[in-house]
Amino acid sequence: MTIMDFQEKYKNRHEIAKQWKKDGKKIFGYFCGYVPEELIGAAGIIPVRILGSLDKVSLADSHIQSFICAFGRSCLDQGLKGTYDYLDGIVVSKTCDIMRNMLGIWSRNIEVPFTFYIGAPSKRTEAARTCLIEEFKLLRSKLEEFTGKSIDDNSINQSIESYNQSRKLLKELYELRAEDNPPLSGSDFYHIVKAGFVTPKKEYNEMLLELKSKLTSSESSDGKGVRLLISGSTFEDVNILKMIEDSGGTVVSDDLCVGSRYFWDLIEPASDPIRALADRYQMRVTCPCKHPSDERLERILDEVKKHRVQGVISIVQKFCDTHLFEYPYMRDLLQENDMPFLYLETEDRLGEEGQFKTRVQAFLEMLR
Amino acid sequence: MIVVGIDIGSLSGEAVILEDGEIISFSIVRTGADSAKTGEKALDEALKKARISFKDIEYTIATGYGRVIVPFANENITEISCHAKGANYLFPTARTILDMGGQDCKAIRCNNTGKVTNFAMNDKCAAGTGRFCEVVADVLDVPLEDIGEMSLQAERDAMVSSACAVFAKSEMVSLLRTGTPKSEILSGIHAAIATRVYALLQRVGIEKDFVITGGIAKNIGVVKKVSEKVGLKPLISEEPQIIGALGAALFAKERYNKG
Repeated sequence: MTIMDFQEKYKNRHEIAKQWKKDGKKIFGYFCGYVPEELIGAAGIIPVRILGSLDKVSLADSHIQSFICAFGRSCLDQGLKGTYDYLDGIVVSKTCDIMRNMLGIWSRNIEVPFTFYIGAPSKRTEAARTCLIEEFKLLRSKLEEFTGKSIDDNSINQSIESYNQSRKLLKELYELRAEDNPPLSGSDFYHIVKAGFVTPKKEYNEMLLELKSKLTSSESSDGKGVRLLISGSTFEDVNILKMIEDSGGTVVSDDLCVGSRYFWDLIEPASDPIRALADRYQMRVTCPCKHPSDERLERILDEVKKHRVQGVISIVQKFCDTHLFEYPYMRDLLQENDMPFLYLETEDRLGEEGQFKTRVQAFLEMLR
Repeated sequence: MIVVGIDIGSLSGEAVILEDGEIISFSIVRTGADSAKTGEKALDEALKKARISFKDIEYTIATGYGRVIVPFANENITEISCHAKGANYLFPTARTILDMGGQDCKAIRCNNTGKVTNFAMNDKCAAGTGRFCEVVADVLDVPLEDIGEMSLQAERDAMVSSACAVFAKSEMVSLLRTGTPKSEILSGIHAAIATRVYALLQRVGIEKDFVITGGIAKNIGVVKKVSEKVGLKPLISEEPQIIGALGAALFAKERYNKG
């Protein structure tokens, strides 16, 4: 088991999904980290996360404005091109405005048999919890209607267990990066996390276990790189991390949606599995589209200490309002704690490499 | 000990030769389509002026946009670190540096040793860059080196609302059509550039002494507007265009000494 295997899973995700389809399986697509994949899985449906693509956007521009992030444009573009024609359904949870409206634009222009929008509240109050529980219950009954089979508590609990297992294993791998010579680079880790979004959990957990048993031994970096934490929004192009690492940085921690924010919180088993799901999805490490963000920012500081981070690089998609709103708070907090900080604006892909590289290299020179 | 710093920018290339820490020669050449050759050309010229040859050089550091394509360089360092280093050498009290180059504009903060402590760079935007000044000179049909001086004759600034090179170009054309004097248009353009770079400087905070480097520091009109906006009189060296190459040469000296 090597990083290449994870890379291949993601790279061939559409071909693999089409094969599942031929075998009679149902596949749902979902956006962002606020959709309870566990529930979709419990219905016997394979959930896959819809992410950006490095292909040139050609069809989406006539449907959405120019101030929409490259990620949103790219997702819609793939849908319009028929890349996701194998999907039997799409589930979206309320996160940012782009995601909130994506389902409407998608279902208006692309045929998909099942759609569900989770009106997930942003707050952490009891009333918000009740609302989320009701939304999840509704999703459960709609899924039952769609498949014609009831979803019992036991199958939800089983599904929760295998997702918890994935998250636990990912966290264990992540923690190895606190070492002096991390056995995994930031770009390796990005490949690993991404593969998990498109691989059934049973298979994925086996892959993670096998990788972990091999890692602890050899493969190491020289330990001379500047230790970095990467924060920010989603981006498709792993070369962004690769370029940072080739310039002399070692990415040892992250605050990314395709990263620790995804696997940080496990689901605490409870007698009512729907309530257990709601507890986790309401209280999980926040994306900047949810509030309050204090806990997330405190977590960044904790990880900076634990992983002995020397500098933080924030990589944010152009036009990502939610990350931009939060930027001043994060900058101030890091400044108060004498943690050097670099803000980089990007699109889904690396693009203008020269200027990007100059900023990164200058930042690393500053830290040496 | 002889060391060299080479700065390959988007519009010009510079070389600075140091002998025992003193500048003995420098050169400025225009960057052609082939940036790799620019480095060679700049170095040849500087070597000729110093009456020394290539084999006398102990260590070379390249910087600037084309820093990775200088085959004879021992290392490369970003122009951000080099401008701070070079400015600190000429003005040890410098804490804030504004580098206005051919295609980039950078606000840099440094400490008393010339080490960078923070920086901000313009995004995909030509405002405050040499390329923008070239467009302006071209539209107004005024030689590039005269635009600074000419702007000082203006009695008022023409209203130029955008420092975007594309929009400013069409604004200039319509101002010319309404008979606005060229000096006033230039003065308005320089004010728009100053507003833009001031915003960049504010991102890193401004502390004196304030130094301007890069080719645009030679445009007296821009410098005047920037210093009015910032409220500080900038320190500018006799040849602000070579500060990046000077910084690179100073790093070359340090690295060579360290062995």
